[in-house]
Amino acid sequence: MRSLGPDVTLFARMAAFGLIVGVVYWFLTYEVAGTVLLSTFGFASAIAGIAVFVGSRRLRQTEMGTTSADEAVAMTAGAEPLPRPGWAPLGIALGLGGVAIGAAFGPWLAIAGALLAIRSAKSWLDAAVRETDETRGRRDPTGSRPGD
Amino acid sequence: MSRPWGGGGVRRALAAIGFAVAVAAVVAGCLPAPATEQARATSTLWTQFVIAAAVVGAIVWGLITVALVRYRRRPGDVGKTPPQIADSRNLEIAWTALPILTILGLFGLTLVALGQVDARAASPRVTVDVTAFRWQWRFDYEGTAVSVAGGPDQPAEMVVPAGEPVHIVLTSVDVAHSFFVPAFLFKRDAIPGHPNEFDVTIDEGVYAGQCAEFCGVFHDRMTLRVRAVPRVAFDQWLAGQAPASSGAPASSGAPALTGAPAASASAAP
Amino acid sequence: MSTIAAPVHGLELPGLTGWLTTTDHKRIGILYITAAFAFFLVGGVLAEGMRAELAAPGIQLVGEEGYDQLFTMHGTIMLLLFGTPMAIGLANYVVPLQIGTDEMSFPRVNALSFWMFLTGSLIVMSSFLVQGGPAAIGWTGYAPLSDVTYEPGIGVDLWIVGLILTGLSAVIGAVNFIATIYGRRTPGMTMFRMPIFTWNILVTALLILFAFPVLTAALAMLFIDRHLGGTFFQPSLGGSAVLWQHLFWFFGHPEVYILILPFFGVITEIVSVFSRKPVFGYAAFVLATIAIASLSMSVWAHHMFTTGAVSNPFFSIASFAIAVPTGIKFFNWIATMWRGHLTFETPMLWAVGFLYLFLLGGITGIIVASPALDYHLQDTYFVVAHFHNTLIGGSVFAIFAGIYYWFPKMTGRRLSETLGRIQFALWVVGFTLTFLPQYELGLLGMPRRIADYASATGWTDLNVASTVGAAILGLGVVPFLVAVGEALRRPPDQGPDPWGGATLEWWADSPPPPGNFRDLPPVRSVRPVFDARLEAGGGAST
Repeated sequence: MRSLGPDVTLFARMAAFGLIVGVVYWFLTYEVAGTVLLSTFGFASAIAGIAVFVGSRRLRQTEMGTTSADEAVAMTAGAEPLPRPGWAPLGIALGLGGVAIGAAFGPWLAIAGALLAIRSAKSWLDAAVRETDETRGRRDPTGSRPGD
Repeated sequence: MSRPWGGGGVRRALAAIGFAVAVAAVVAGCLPAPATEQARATSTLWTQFVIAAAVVGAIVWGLITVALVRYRRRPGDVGKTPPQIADSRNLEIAWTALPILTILGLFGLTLVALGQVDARAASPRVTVDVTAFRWQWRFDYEGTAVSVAGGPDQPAEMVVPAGEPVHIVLTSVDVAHSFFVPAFLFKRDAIPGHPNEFDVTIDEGVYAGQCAEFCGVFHDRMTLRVRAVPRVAFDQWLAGQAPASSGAPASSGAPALTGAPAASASAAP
Repeated sequence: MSTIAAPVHGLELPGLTGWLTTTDHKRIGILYITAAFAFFLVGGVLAEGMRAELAAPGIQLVGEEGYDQLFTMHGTIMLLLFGTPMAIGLANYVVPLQIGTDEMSFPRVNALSFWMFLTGSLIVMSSFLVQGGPAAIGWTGYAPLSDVTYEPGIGVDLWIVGLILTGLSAVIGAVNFIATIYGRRTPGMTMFRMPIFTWNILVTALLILFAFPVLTAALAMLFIDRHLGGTFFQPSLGGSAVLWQHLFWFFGHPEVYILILPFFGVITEIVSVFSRKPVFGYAAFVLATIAIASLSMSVWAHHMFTTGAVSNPFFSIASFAIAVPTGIKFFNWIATMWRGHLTFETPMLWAVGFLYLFLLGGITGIIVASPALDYHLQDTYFVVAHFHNTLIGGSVFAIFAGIYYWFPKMTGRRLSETLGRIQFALWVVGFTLTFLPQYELGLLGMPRRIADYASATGWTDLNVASTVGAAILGLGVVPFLVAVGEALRRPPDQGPDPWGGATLEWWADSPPPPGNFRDLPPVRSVRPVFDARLEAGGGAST
């Protein structure tokens, strides 16, 4: 069987460990909480490994005929838009903080926080769309689209 | 890594290990003198572990020290590149196999000791129901109406027969506590909803204990005593106890010293 | 030589606004490191308060409730507001440099992680200002003590919600690190050519990913119990106090490996550079790290040996097993030094201190992994000494090693060697005097989390020694602060590679410009900068 590459193998090993130990733990102890925790860890790792495996399919199928995403990454460099500085992360964080404190003190703070977080999330989304458009040439940094 | 020390080095290494074992013997004595049959098994295990720790420590600390001393950069080495050795199959196998064997040995010794410490007696003649509450203890002697409870100024004292198994049933009526007597080298948690049971065979004597699971503001005052007396004396003591009226009620409040109001009760809402 | 394609960099806004809006991993790293260090100082002050109270029998200073609040917040701050974020901060700065890239995969999410961490931390700290003060439930928050029946104060609720935020921040950060390490390595850098520090961060990120959500869930369940009619952890209403312990420790044990694995990586880097030797047994280091992480997910109930509710033999053998990969790392570190040319600049001093001290912590860990011994030692000062041994002698020593090592890269200046030596000496003495007596106190039977003890116990002298040691540790922070202040007042004068490093961060300028690298050497091994230096005719070291 073709090697999965170290990136997927890492998750696969942890998944195998979690699932096997979970089964062994059940038959040794019949203790529910630990069995659920261990098995869930195993499943989560398996899901992550599958996600990496599937998500890297394009990288693996390069012309260079590499067998693993690891090698493919090692031969290419990513070119993606980099986000510009902005207030959105701070805004969302403070908003979530308001929601959190609101849970402890009372709903008004939670509502204010939620509003701030939503407003910041919107500005984040707008910025991301704008940056992606610029990178893909659909819009130049002055804000106008080609053909405008 | 070929012949790191030579003949004199082997002698020095053995001397270092011997010294470490001597230190281990001293450290091993730092445990309280075991006061129960079970504690003697624990104490033996402790000595075994300390010796193993000393040997491992001597080897590894020794190797670190040798490396630091022998391989300091000398003035003539500045700018030169030392041999860039980065692996050795044999060494890696050895220092994987030896630790595996060591921990398997330690685990085996542990199982032996656990078997003795956790062992249950066939038919103990005394069962004491230990109830932990914020912030004292109550001891109910099963099959009798005798109950001893501690209060804010008076730690509870459990009188038991020495030299025979005493069965303890341990519960809590409020938060998690832990029944700990250092001389027994043993503790067990008192968790509401999860009673625990264990047996101890105690040497004659008086032993101090206290709660070992944080249980709130007066956790530090939740002390107790265990008094193990000859069987005859225990029978006399038991017969002389007034039924269930000694000491404070089951859930005592804050100690009188501070004059603080009674803290939240143990009863369920 | 390959050239990085040029996305737009250098768009940072000036002044304070620049720091509040940054998406640059280097700035975010510095924000994390600075905030974490500030919490370290706060947590240290709380510890000095605890040690001052314990120096003599009798309640003198903070009262029983106050003492309980101190140890709760000390643990919470040190583990969750200092240790974990410090690792994330160092990783933020160093990992993209080590893999030869210009940014994290998700820079804006990176900023979100930091601000969520800071907001959550400040919410936790705000509990000092509310009626009733901070939570007094231990950093472990055992049920049912943490229920509203016994601890109704709003301090507990702020503790809960603040930690939910910081926990979510950690998980987001972990995803970012995994994506970055998987997807942004420079051409030529296969995973088995990554530096060990980067490997350790990858594995740490996996642990964060699998462990922190369990804490978040447990905290949410606790909040529901307290205020929304839940009964998860209330035995009197059909819930289970033991369940809280399972959930908490399923997070809590991987958490302590989250707190050490990054710093194992720091030690590996430093020992290799200052021995002028390659990392010995690279593959074994990687496999051992993965083994430690996997095993650490299966040992949680060794914190529950005395509950009578778990299989003690299962958790005992699993806990013993972790000694094997840890031992392998120790032997690899020694073999890295063997036949090298060792010099002892401050980073290496701290690394050597780590090697001596962490070994004791590991050995005492093996001792408490034996349930029969743990029946005596659990919840005593032996355990307190053990975990401070691994956390201070291990993590904190390695943190200082990493700061002294990477400070020139981050600022272009070297910290004073003299002050570094003074700090190191004070910390070795201070650590030893504070915690070795605590091992003995634990053996004698002194429980932990007690505000006071009777003089008849005979514990006073050892407590006095421990308090004096703590004062020395506190004093030892001063040379470090002076060194940082003094260095920052000098103009930058360090080149890209002041130590003779081997990994890619030592190719960039000190500090790196926006975008990090103008060019990169070819990556054909674990040590691209070393290879480039050899090719250019240089030696192994400066």
